[in-house]
Amino acid sequence: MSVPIMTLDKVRKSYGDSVAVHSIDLEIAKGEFIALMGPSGCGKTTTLRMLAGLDKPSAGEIRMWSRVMNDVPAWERDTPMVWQSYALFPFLSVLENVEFGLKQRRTTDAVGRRAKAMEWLDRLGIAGMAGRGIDQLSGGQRQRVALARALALEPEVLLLDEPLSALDAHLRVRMQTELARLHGELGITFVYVTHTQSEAFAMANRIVIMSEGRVQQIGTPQDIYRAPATRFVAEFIGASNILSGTLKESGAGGIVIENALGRFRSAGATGIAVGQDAAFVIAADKIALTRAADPAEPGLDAVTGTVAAEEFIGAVVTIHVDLPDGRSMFVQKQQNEVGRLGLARGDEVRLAWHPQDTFVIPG
Amino acid sequence: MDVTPPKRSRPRIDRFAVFWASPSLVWQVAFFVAPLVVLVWMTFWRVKNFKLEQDFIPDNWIRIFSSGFFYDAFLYTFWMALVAAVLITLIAFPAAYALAFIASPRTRTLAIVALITPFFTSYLVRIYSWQIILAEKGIINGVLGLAGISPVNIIGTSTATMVGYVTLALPLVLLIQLFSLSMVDKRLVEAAYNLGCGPLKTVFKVVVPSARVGLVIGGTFAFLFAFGDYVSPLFLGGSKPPTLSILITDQVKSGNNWPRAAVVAVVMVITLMATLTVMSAVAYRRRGGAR
Ligand SMILES: Nc1ncnc2c1ncn2[C@@H]1O[C@H](COP(=O)(O)OP(=O)(O)O)[C@@H](O)[C@H]1O
Ligand SMILES: [Mg+2]
Repeated sequence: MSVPIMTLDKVRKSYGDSVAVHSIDLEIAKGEFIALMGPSGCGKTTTLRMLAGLDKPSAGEIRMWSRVMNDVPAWERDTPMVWQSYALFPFLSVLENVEFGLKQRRTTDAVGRRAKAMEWLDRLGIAGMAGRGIDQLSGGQRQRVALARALALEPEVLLLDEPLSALDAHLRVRMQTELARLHGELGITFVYVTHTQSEAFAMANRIVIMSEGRVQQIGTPQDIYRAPATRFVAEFIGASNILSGTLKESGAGGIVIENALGRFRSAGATGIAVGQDAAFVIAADKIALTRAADPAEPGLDAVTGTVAAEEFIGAVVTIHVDLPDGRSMFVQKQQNEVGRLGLARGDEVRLAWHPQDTFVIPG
Repeated sequence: MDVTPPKRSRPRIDRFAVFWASPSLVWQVAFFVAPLVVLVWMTFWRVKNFKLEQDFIPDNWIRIFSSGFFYDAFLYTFWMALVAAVLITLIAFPAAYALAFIASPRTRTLAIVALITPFFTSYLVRIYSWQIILAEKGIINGVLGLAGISPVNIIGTSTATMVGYVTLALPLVLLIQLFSLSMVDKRLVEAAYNLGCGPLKTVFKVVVPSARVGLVIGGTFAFLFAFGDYVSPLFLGGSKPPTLSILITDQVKSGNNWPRAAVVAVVMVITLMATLTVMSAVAYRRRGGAR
């Protein structure tokens, strides 16, 4: 990575005794679409507000290019934000809202300003609303005004705080597509806060998973999905099974974890010492599902259990399987694959997987 | 996507609302509308040998509206009230702003108590104390004298009247402003900063427009208080030039002319109602809309 457009260097934010953000290190590259994701209260908004200069870090350094930004007031920065609540000015018309930031810049005269604001309204498909008051707009239209107001400044970095959370599901998907398209066309760096996985995975180049004010993992959607670094990430993403046990072997031949269900192999290395608690993670769609009576495929690790429930979401079926020791696992398959098996509740099944598809996290 | 803006549905007047509104309606009719009707009626009576007689003659109206002193008094009163409204609004705003945005919750609570207390002390007493301060040999001139400055003539001037008006209306205006500033959405202030608008400019571009209703209503109250006040122009302003309120008492005192006093009073009520109507329209004017 060349010089990052924004850098968070051991940034911390505390309010009295409570710490909102512990110590975040993050480098954001120019043109990236980076998503900060995590459950409510994990410090996403606080992080974004520090990037905007609305909150001051209690410790650490925030840099834009190589300039230290800690003491630069918000109004002298170029990091407009799209707010969760939109924060549009109700006493101004749509057009005046979009012109607001441009007016502060004083780079153009009134005519140029108006033209620019209209251009952005047009680009977001709401040019017809220019003369309206904010209270005369639907939620989706407000969202577009908020975007136009920020983008009209043509900033290097756009900050977005759960911008789609107030929209209904249908509109949310449309706006996702549109945001991704805008990002592609403009080459602006997007820092996008969300607690919704689908948004982050659909749009971001890179995802930062946060929990309780700490970064849990930074990686591409692929990395996060396939190789969650911690139990928290694995559970938060929810796409994988986590089976805990004790680390029995660790060496050139791979890793072996043992629990009540048996011994399970995993490829790759880990920093966990032999004898310690560990868990291995296997993605739900990497598991082969067969009837327990069918012959086992050699070279795979497997467990057997009984079918507890099936869930259909579109063409994908999630099958929950109860294991003999009281745990359960889930498998995700295309509907046509499962249909062949003709499973019913209570049927004995075998779940099998390649050891290479698993990896180990601390217990 | 192009959802038409929601139509503002007219609130349905249901029986429940009418039931709960009726006590205050009865009160309004009994103690405001009825006396007003009597007042208007009285403007057409006549005074004979210092005695009031029922009649229906336009003479009182003609007499008042053809006398120059009435117009002078009207313009003076209106002007003074207008200056008071602007002045008090300007004096109150920085304090209300500091209390709403900067002060700690504790300080704010204390300030609110301090602002409400004057409502329970006699206005007249406060005016008397201003007399002592502003008098020819009063505290201000005493201090000026110590500094070797010749005494200034404050008591008996419009300035003294204005001091009284400020005393009268400032606490209420400050409270109204404080409450409306407290309701300003802080996120809008941050949004302005975020769009490159500095703090001072944000006060005028975001805070003032957001608190417009409170600021206008506060100023209007100051106007109403000053326009109708009798105590300050009498005790501090020395009745010169006379305000409309002084004119009313003059009409009654000299010649027991209640009908002419009623004419002046009706003119005052009409002025106040017109001001209130115009200012509410200003306060609640909607921005944007179809253009
Ligand atoms: N102004 C504040 N004062 C005190 N605590 C705060 C303040 N702002 C945020 N916090 C706390 O910091 C934590 C992180 O908040 P936030 O960044 O808003 O979370 P998120 O956006 O991820 O939901 C929360 O526990 C919240 O209560
Ligand atoms: Mg948040």
